[in-house]
Amino acid sequence: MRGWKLLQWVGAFIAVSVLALWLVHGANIFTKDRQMRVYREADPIFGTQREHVVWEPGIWIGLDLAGPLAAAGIGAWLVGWWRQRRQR
Amino acid sequence: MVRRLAGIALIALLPTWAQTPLPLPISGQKTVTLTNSVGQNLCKFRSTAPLEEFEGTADGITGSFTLDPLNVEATRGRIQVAVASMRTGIARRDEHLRSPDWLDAERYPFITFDITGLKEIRFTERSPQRVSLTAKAVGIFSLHGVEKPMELPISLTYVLESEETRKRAPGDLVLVQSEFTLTLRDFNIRGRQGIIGSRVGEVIRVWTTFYGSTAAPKSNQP
Repeated sequence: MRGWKLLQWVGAFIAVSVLALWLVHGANIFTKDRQMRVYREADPIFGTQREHVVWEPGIWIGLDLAGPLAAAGIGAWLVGWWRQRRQR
Repeated sequence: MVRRLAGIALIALLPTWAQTPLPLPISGQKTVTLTNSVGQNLCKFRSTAPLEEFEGTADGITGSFTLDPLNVEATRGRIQVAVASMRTGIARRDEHLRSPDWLDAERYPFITFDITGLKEIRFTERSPQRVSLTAKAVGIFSLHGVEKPMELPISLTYVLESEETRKRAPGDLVLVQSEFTLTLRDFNIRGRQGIIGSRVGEVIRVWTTFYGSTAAPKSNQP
């Protein structure tokens, strides 16, 4: 009984945290391994703004990864809920 | 008779009228070579499609152009961008981009623009040290093995060499910026079936920033 409740909570936690992380990472469809950073500074020589672009390595989770993980979390929550209901 | 003579004179003078001088105290043709020591040479592009929007860059840029201070219209040169230097933030997508289905970097390693002249020149800033203008760069755009005549809107700023500019790079410094769109179909880029129009935009918006110097090393020329 307690085990199924735990599974329910763990599943919900995984689903919510993965979806929150996906939103924080920019809600991309595909997982990015580099993020474009644009640094701007005034350019007095040309009278414009000078841009410097770099690609920072890292992981920005996309829906391709977040979707299945969240689905697994929701699935675990559903299994936990269903098993608990049957045992009552 | 007078009218005919006036007509002939007009035709003879037309090329002279079409020549726009650069309002700076410089003489002789200037070859501007792109160099990152003046600023980061970069092409940015954005694809907007219903399922996905992404941005990318290309920084493998080389090129040079010759500017005649007495005839800005006669500017000529070539700028090329290495397909291998294109990045979109996803390594697998970058590989696809270079694959034969898309830009086919092995067969067509460079995207080039051969400048054959400038037209519609308008000065937007004149000072003793610096001149800015907008114009249309006329030339041949080559992408994916397809050559297409194009007129790209540009803004160009020419800065005379001074104490301040020498801190960055020797020679007169030049900045050229442009924003335009490319239709993938025009360059025979089909991609994998169903991708263009759903995950990759049919039209790609491009922003370019090129920095050059009249004293940059010739190795930066294509």
